Amino acid sequence: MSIILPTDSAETLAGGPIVCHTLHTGTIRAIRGRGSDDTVTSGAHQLSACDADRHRVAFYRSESELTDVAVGTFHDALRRGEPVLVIATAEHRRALRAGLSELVDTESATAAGQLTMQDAREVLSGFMVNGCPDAARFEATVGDLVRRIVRRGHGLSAFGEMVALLWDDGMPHATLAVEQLWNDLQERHSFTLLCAYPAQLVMTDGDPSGYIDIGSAHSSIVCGPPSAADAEVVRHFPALTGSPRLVRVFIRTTLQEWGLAHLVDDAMLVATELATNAIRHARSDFAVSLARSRHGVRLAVGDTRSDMAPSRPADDDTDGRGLHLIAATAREWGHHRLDSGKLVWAEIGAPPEVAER
Amino acid sequence: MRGPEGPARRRSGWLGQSGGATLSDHGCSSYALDRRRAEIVTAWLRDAAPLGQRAMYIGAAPAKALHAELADFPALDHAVESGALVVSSAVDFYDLGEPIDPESQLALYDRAVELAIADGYRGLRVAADITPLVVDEALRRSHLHWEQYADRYMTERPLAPLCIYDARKIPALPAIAAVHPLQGPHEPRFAVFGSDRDAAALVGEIDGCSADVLSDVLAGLPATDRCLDVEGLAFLDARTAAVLQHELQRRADEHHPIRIVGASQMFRKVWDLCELDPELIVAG
Repeated sequence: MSIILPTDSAETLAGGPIVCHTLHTGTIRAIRGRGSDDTVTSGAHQLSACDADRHRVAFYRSESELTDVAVGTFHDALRRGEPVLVIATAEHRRALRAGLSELVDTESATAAGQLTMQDAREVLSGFMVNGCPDAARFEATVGDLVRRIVRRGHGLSAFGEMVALLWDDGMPHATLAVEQLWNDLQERHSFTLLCAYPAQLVMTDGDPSGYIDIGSAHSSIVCGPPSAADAEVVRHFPALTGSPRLVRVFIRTTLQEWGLAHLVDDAMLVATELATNAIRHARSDFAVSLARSRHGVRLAVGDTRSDMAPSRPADDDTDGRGLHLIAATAREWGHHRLDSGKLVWAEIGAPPEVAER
Repeated sequence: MRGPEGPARRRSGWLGQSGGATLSDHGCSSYALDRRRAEIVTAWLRDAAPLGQRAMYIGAAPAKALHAELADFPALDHAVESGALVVSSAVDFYDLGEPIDPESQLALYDRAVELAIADGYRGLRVAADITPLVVDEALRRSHLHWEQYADRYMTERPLAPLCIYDARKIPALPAIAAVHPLQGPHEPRFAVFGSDRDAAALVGEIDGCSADVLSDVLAGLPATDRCLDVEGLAFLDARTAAVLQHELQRRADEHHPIRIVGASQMFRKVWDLCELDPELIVAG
């Protein structure tokens, strides 16, 4: 599937950064405004500075997508001299090492202790007791490993897929408990973590529960290297009933990060309406873009259906009040048909003197 | 009147959260492995002894097989002999294949609670496999009402049931799960449960994608509910606000009016922007 979400169309979204993202087989590539290499580099740089990217999760649809995301993240970390810890299956350790080897000297990095790879199943067995993660044992194994690396003072960029193994074993409670243990560990030590789950594993039979639960345990969701958080952020979401909740998590996190917390409620209201329309009416996966603007934030939702423009149903229709609410909440809003879908946008915010009243 | 063992505030949220078990917990979860079912049931019933409650397992299999599932229950044989743990097959406890009659079924649970108290316990903590009760889709609407009817009883009496179902036979029960204050194995999106004998609380987040489930849940509210406390509602959108108004209007038309209390600033904003009836919200 391919979603093209231009957020800069001169006629639709005046001002702000010019970035156009294409999601194709899992790779977000800047096709205008920035070269792809820059995107990987600046995105990964943002990763270490941006709290939204502290604990990311990738729901990958193919092995190559996972490799793209992981290599993009850890290549840059290694180049910056940051230690990298990989806790993965043998297959993924091999793929990641092969991908990184094309860009950096992994043998030297390993010998210098900068690149550490461990087997996910083996590490897991060190702290699981009767099907549940034991917090003390997690601390003594994973915690100790992280602590030793972080103490060197060069940060840490970690990759983990023990959680995906637990999920695959039919143990969602244990999976989420391990995610929580990682979050607890991040409260005490400064490091970034990328988790990875096969998308088909957590989104079975159209049931979004797994996607939502896992997504909610993370600071952000990626399917590719992150975009620059100080200018524009784009996230892609599947056409699942739980996705609007993840959209709200994304919006809340990003706007708080940008110091625009006063716009969170309005932005969540508008984004939820647009996301729900994409799911219920367009039945399409969709992308949400947030970009800083002169008056606040510009929100755009793009889906793959160009044949359905937002309509204005009768006021007494249960479905019909959403667009009325958008019109009442946004400073401006509109929609545009694209070759590959449609884009609905809204400008949220008010001039400071109005917002302060 | 609230009984001496009634909860001041119900425990709600994700079932996976550790600790804090109370005498009137009400949970729902699913399992996809028999081993996992045994773990969930044992974990729930293990909290009975510290709380002083009698434990009871109502499973889909014959009682003998259920007994074997509880191998990890502390001092299992002694617990069974002393009456601290009772094991029963669903076929002996429910009228399977028929819609549940809330009054007679609750009377059965009430007798079990009273018997436990008479035997010196502080109430009854139950793990019930509801798979045979809801595997037939036609029975789910009446079960949804039963769950809410029984839940209000729990606001006054020390009954703490966990309802579990087999996800291999029933992929999801979103509305039935949503009327339990505690939900698993996934973190709940929203819940509607008794905050008092004649009051319900709506907590979590609701949006257009959960509107149909919300509508089903509200349609099954006990007729005795007089107010819906939305203080714990973190988000609602235009569509769910409209669903709420529709159900509240229907209740009013049927002479079982229910009012909204605890509305946040955001709730009122959405309500006002959607031009819904302000009279349905109690000021305060």
